[in-house]
Amino acid sequence: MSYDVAIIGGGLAGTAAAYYLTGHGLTPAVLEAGELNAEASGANAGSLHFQLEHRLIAHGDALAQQVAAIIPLAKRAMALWRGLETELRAPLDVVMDGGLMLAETPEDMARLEAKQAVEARWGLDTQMLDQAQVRARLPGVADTVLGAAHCADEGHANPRLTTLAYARRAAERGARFFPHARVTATERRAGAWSLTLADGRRIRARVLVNAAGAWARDVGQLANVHIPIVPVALQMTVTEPVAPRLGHLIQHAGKALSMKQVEAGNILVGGGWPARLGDPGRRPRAFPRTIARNLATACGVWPELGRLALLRTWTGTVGVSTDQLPLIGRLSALPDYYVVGAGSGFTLGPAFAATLADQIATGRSDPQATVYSPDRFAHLNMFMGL
Amino acid sequence: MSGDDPTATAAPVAIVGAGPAGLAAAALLADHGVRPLLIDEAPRPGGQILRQPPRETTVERWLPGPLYRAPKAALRAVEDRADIAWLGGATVLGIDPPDPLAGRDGFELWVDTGARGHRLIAAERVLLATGAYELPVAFPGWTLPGVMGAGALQTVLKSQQILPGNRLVFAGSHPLQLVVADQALDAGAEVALVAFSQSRPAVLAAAARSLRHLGRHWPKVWTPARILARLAARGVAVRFNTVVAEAHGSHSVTAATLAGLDRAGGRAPDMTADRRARVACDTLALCYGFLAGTELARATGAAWTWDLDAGGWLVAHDGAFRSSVPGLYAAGEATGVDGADAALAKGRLAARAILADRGWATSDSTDAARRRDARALARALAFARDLRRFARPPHRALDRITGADTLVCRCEAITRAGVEAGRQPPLALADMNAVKRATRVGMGACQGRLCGAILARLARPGTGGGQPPRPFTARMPVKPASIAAVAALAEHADAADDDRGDQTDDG
Repeated sequence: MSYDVAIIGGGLAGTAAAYYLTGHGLTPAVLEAGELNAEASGANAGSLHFQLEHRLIAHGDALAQQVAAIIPLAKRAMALWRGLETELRAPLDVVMDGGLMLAETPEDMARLEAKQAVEARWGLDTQMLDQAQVRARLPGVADTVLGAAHCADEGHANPRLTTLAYARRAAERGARFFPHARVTATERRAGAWSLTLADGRRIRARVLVNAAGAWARDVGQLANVHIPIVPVALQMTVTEPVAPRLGHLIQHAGKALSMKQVEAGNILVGGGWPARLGDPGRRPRAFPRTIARNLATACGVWPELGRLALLRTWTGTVGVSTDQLPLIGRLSALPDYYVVGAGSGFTLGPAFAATLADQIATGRSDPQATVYSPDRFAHLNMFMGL
Repeated sequence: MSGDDPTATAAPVAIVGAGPAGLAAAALLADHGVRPLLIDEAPRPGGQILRQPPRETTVERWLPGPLYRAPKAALRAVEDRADIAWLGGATVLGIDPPDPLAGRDGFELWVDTGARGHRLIAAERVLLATGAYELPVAFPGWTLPGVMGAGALQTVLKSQQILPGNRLVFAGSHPLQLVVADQALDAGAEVALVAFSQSRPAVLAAAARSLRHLGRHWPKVWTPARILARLAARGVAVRFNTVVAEAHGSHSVTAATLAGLDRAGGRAPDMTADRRARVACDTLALCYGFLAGTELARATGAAWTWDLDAGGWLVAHDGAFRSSVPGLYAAGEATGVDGADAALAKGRLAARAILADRGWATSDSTDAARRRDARALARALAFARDLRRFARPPHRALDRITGADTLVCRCEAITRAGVEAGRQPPLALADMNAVKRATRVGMGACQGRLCGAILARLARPGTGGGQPPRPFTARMPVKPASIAAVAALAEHADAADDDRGDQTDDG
């Protein structure tokens, strides 16, 4: 079987890339080792967060400047999310009713102000709110909250539905999906990529895309290249469903926290709390201390959460690049080998995929794409390749 | 047992579940100088089989009859001992296995003690004796109030001396429904019908085969026969070759439709369109078997095996009740639903494995005692195997009664059709967890305890066997919990970590 593009990984990035590639008249095949949407793409907490994150701004100005380069991607993602339910003709529970990044200390406030200046320079619209303004937007907020940064475009969407909707529409436009198809070899044969599946089947494609998320490094090694994406295990919690009472995406300027109420009424609490990676092939394990600290952090800024019942926790394995920025584009160490993933992969996933599809279809990358080009790690592959 | 110790934070061995397995293990450990901590969700020990009434209540002739003799003896053997610590009314929400990276050699149990808050309890070793619950079956009307498991009906009868209704219909494949029907009659209920999926010849053949167990298991052989005779004497209809098909009613059940089974040509029994009968009732009690309670074990990382007729997903063990997680043991129904006699023997054998692993109890007399327990278990399992073969649910018919618009997940209101939508290409979702993510099935308050087994059956119609289905991933907390109480635990955890840090510094 021969395709224009073989995409390894049936998460959001790979599936959405397949969709956008069909829009360029190309025929992609998506090869997924397990089930579509089974890992981080389906297991994340569904935040649409465009403000620079706590984990990025907490490490000083230089990183924040660098990170600001992803704001153009964020703006593309915003536009895509606004039209996505129409484009994919599917409910995705997209709600963009604004997000608040809360501050509890003068240091938090100073950090938010610095952040806002960077964002303004790059054209991302955020406003500082004082204590009274936060209270008006978030009834029940704790007295310790001094202010917040507000981004009107933030919100949330449903990770359970988004990848599957992309897959259905991509399949209608000619993309082929191979779930339960583990790739065991990626080789160059007669000027094209030849992929071998665990069951012995062969797939041939002009272009190969590594969209394997937290497993991108392992897939890269099949072609003797290093992809600097490492797996990180995160844990999230969800409350019982309740009547609407939390109208924004809530984040924190100085603590790991994300909180939002979803369509079904449940409140999801997360923000980057660790689980244990454990054995390969097994889901990461949650542990009581981080569950308790995650919820204590959330109750600290919004005490009425404490009156609800914790329904479940779950975990996911997300791929994070060594510099926290996404990898999108061609790897010059190999012919026609592309990488997509890492870093805010749900919020920015549609933009990752659309950007990648543009590059593959045109053979060109836009100037801003160099910031997230995988070739910024070319030194890792100096002695690698085929 | 020593009363609730609200400050208990550590134990050499924590036993989760105070049914026959947990009671037997606790007594044996205490006999050997290990003071176990016995934890149970119920305020009093005894497990589901005894379901002790509240302490404030006196019940005359509490659970008379030979069926309850052994578990009651096991309960009496631990009740007055000071060398067993007891924590009742407490739900173990999760177990964190030993974590050498964090400097913790033992397990940490996350325990919800209700109004007394949450706490973390350290234990060198943990024995899970988490029992079983009833096998759910999905058919039109199964979510109406008044439709319940026969075991649930028995629970309110035993612990509260309450009948949930006046006119009862029983349907199932397990002889437990005879025991419950008999107890309900004694309590003053009218039993309109007891329906067995087995044929009358199959019942007679099983009764004949069971006679070989008469010597060792006479109460379990004799009781069903005695009850059948009593039902006949009281004019209670007992119908064979019959399966539940539908429950009727707008706010609660007012009638049940039973359907005849067709087993022409030696096929697996299937539901027929004819021989349907509608019976008025205000309670419909179902008794198609049991599911092992393995969420805690699986959430702790223990390996599982699959045997639908033995309780679905079971905790895998090495024959001596050691799970795949070092230091974590499992006994009782969680390793196979084999009944109370087997659970008592399993509990004792698990306790012996714990003692051996701690380097104790290696004398010859203990070896002899272990062989005695092993023989008791073998005898109990011989009976359990015959019972299981007899009580096997009519899987094909149980698939058939789940219609396309029958709810499969009652918490999230997901129908069978809703569940099956994602199975077609391009998505071709096969794994239960992928189906869960795509449809919300299993995401509600029961955390998939009910719909998980229904989904496993629907995935492989009619067989009840075949390729083991991967269960919904179990994670702590295994039951819903108050967020305020969980958040308060953060301070507890911080303090415990500080203490350990100090010790490390000192050391």
